[in-house]
Amino acid sequence: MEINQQTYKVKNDHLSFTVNSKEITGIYTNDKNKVLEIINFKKDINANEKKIVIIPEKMNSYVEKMKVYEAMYYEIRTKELSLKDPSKKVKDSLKIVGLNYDYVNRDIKSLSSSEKKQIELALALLSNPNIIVMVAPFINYDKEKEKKIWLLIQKMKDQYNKTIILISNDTNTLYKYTNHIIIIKNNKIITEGKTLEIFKKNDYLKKNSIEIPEIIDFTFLARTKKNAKIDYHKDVRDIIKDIYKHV
Amino acid sequence: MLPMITLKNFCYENLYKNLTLSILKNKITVISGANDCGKTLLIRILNREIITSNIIIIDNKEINKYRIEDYSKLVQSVIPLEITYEESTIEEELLYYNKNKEELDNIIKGLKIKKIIHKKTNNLTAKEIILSQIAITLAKKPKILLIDNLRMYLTEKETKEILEFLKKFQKDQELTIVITTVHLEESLVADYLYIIGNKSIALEGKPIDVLQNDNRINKLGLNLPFMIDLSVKLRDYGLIKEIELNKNRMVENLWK
Repeated sequence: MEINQQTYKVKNDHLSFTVNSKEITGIYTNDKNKVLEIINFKKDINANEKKIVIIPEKMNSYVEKMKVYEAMYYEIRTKELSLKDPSKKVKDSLKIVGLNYDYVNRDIKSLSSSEKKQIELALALLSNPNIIVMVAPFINYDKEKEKKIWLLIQKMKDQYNKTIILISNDTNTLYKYTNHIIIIKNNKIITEGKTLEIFKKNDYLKKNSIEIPEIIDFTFLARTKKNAKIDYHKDVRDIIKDIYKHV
Repeated sequence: MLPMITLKNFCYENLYKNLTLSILKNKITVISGANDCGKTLLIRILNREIITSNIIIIDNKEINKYRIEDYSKLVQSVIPLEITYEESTIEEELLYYNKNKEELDNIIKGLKIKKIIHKKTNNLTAKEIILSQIAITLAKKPKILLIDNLRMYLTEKETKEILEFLKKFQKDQELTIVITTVHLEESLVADYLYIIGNKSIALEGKPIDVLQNDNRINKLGLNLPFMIDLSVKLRDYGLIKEIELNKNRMVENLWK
């Protein structure tokens, strides 16, 4: 991985891609493990300059059996983090993700699913990473919890200057939440660029068996088949306004 | 229509209060609801992993009156990646439970798992493990199949393909299927939909009818499937008359 102020370049012998620092980049892949292997490949990483934390789609079942403080100190020990004041770091990490210090004595298994995700982010923050990689962060969350997690991700980027990589096989989510996307299939990048521009390559993506976000697919059909004057939007209500004006 | 599973005034800790539902025999029923409303818990209770004092009737008999071995012949569950067969290949597991080649071929072909049946689970992706879980469970020939959270490691398209296969399989084999999910898209293959809210059943009925309650569903914290959301809003504006799930037909209807 090569680093400069603006970008992180991730590469191995087969695959190489660049993510903009302090931004949210989406990676669509049909094999997340391969991509994680490359991202997590630490051989050429300057540990002082760049730290990566990966948050999987589901919390580790071993950690899930712990109390919050046990999980926090387990993370500090296993990652051999040299912290001046571990207790303060634990408190600060919980505060950043919106949880008060009372949570330290809670059993993780008793927490709600979004609180568990908050704990995972708090665990990630203990090592003060530059890059937070989240695997399918919204999968199986309802509307309210999805919004809560999204606000937290934005906060990580905007207030704490974290570079965020969202890995998912759900193109609807990636379209909704990212401005830059890399599409990887069978360990090869098939396209990358601005999210909207990429998903507008309807025929190319379908030829490669990549699912098109539903809202894009509908707009694309209306524009190409009927020359409809509707724009690409992220919210269905905006499409309705366009349709109402032009039908 | 005969009920296969009946819960009446079901209560459980702080999660359920007087929940009443009836799952019809040989039908697919989806149970949805916001996170932490107790969907997985319900699957575990129906699978008898959690015993309660509630009266639950399964195939005309009270759940706690079944012998364990009889119950496991009747009810099986698929919870993604919860497996007990790490040491065997998928084929060995399938053959252990079912020696009928024709039946196994039907499952293997339907789930498109021919390439992985000689592998053990440690060589499989999450998607392949889930497919193997479904295949092995179907090979056991239960009367009731419980599936939790299928989308967790699958794409929407992959989930849809599996559900379409299960729908066909269920009709041929007279299987009752219960699916719990937060993704309402999955209900479009089902015969009946229950949505849990406020510790009980908030909405129920034929999925296409239930899903038209857009405001109520939004308040319950769930996202509507895109085409339903679009259809309902266009209908409210008087731009279409009927709910349309097909994008091509919707475009044709709007721009005649």
